[in-house]
Amino acid sequence: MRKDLWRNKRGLSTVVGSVFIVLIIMLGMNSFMWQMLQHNDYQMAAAEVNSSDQERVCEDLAFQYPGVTGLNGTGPYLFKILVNNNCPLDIQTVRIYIYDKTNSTLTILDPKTPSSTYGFENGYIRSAKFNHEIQVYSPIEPDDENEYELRLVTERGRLFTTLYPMPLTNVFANVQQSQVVYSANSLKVGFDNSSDWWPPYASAANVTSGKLYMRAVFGNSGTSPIVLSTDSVLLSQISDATANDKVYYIGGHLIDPATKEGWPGSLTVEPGTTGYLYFHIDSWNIPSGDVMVFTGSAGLVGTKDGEFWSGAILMDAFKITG
Amino acid sequence: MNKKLSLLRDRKAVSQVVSSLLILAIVTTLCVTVYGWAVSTVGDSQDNFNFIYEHRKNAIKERFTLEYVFFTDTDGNPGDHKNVTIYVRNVGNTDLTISDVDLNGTLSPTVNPTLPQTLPSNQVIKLSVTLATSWNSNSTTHIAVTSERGNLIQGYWEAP
Repeated sequence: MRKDLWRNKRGLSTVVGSVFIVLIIMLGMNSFMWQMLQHNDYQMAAAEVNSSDQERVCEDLAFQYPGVTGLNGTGPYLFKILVNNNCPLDIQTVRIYIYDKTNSTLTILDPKTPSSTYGFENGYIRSAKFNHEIQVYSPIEPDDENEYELRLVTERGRLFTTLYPMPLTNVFANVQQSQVVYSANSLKVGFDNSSDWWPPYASAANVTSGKLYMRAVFGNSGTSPIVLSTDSVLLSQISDATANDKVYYIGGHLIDPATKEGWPGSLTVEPGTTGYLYFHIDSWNIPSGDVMVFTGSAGLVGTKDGEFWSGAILMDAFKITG
Repeated sequence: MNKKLSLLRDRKAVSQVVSSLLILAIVTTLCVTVYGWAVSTVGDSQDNFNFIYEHRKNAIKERFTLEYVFFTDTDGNPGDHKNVTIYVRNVGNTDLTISDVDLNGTLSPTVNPTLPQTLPSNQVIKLSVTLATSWNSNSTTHIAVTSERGNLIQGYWEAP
């Protein structure tokens, strides 16, 4: 039986042909699968690189004014570079370049090691960290006489540059509206006696000869003094609750608290301190029985580092009864 | 015995046997040749494919940055304004080889250290380019650094 089967040659060519075709298909499939694997590998590499590119682009360091602070020492000169990390990722600083534009000299600082004299510490900046201090041990002492370019290089390859001393245009860019802040609930009224300032609930008795004097306390939360001028004004909106909700807009100007007259000159509000601003509203009359709610904002102008400065402050509500 | 001899002497259908053997030999030879050619072609194709993909994969992984450019003088010649020092950092995950530095579209012939230079990942290299003519103050220079895999970083820098 087996001999018959072995001798039977019918269909042999079909078997041989099929095996041959299967071999060719397997060869092709193998090649195709291998190419697919390579392609996937490439795509994975591309995705990985894209991800790191996105992280790189995301990095955002903002230098704080004055950029360099806390100068100290006689060599190595110690100072701090203040930065805000506005990025949701931690940032590692790997190098700092300090270019002295006045003397055309370049200083390169790497992370400080226990054995090195110069370098910088605290270069790892956590995400959303404000006022981060990078401690620099420099062979040169940045001073106000020379002009420097500071460049921070991050591990992901981003460069962040600032100037020291910072040009005034950049200083303005860094001035935030909150540099002068209103001290909440400090708005008071007074009349004849300027030292007799009332709490934020007043009556018609506080108005003398149609004049209303108001005082507000402001603080300078910035890092440099602000000199306010007489051009600063108080813009206010008063809602008359008993007169069909009429709304009045009035303006007030700064006065000398002693004389209740024009502003004596200027008011310097030092960083970290408060200043009293006095406003004078003429021809003011509160009809008896009226209830008025005062909401005000102050438009302040003055100088900062010898240059024009302006700011606006929104004050809290203030109720006056007639 | 006689039967065997008569079988050998019988010449009928010999041509058919010979032709069958001949065809079998030709077909077998052709099959082997075609199979060998196919295997070789597929192998070559895979090698080429592998080379291209590996090259492209490594090329897209390359990331480097022009960290700083410092316009200065050549050593021992203060005031000649013939040196541009370039700091290049490899911020990618693979090593790269810097092959060329171009200043204002012209290949810089004198670079110290001599190019090509391999730059490992997360390392910075200082390339000192000596110019044929002095740089001018406040002039802008286009600087391009090319890697061996064909990537390019470039920028404009102003002399002090």
